Amino acid sequence: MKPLVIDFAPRRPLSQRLRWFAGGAGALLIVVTSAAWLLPPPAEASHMSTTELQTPSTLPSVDEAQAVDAAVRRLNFPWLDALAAIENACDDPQAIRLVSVSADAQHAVLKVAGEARSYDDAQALPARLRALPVVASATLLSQEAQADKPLLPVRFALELKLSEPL
Amino acid sequence: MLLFKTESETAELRILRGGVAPLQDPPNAGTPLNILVSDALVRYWIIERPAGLASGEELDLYAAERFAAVFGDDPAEWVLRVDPLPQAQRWLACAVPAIFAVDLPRAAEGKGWQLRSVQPRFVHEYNRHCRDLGPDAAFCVASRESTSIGLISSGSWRSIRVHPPLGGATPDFSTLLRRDCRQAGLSADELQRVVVGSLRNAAR
Repeated sequence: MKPLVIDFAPRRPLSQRLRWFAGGAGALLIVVTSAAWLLPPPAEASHMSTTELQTPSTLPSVDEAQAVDAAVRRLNFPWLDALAAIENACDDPQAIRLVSVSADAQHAVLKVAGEARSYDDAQALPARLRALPVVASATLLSQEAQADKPLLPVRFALELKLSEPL
Repeated sequence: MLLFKTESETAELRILRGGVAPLQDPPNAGTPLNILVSDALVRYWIIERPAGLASGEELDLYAAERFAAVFGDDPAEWVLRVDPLPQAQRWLACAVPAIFAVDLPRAAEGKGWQLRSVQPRFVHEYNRHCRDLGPDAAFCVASRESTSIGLISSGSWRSIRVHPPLGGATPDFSTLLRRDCRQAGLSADELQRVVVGSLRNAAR
């Protein structure tokens, strides 16, 4: 038979000795868990010891730094702002139609391909783009005739250098 | 009230029906103290396991209602305990006057004793010998204060009664046991008999 669980002793909080014991155990638990948290795990520790032996390699090389900068620039390239500025400059769809825009973010250069109603329209475009505050320079790279498009018979390419460093 | 020193350096305070003596100071502050209440001062009864109990509070209320019905005493002046063994259909319940379960422990701790337990004599003795008991047994505490007989059938409590101490005008133990078994619908001959206490020899 099992013992009777009957005791009339008042149920009360922990005795002072138990409170001290519980407090000590709690403090010990905090110390142990803190140490476990602060000490790196073995894999991380080995990584740290390796890097300590090769301190110079922890600094990024010039190429690595440039790659990082380039990536940052690509990520930060203001695509929408640049497109909006160019489209505003080419606001006459009867005279100019943009076909493609590609960016060299590292050098803050935009390459634009388009079609024009005439050679004059194509040649006038760089001057209009240079009037934009964000454009430092605009150079017409090429222009050629395309016989299959009588409304926009001139195909051109130009390069824009943005004035604001990205 | 008598004070004994047990082998484990734990003092034992026995509350007898003969009266109450002033509580002594502990030999050292924090000395453990067990309070043992004579069965002559305790009320025992069996609770049929009620269906649909939702909480311990409901069990306490049910035990108090049964206590008042069986003994006619006001439960507010007593402290009640039940051992709700999950597998059993009947539970042992007991009550101790609040002065022994509340006031005396408070006074003892005020004097520097470290209270460990307050138990009735039958419960204390049963817990010491329960491992030797089978599922069908009659456990008896025969002391100079009282004769407590608890009947167990199929591992479940069936009856518990506190009789006067053996000797004198009290019927012999076999008569008491047969009477209790008859009322509980049990056969005394089929029960394992275990008798403890200072008058255990008188029960044989």
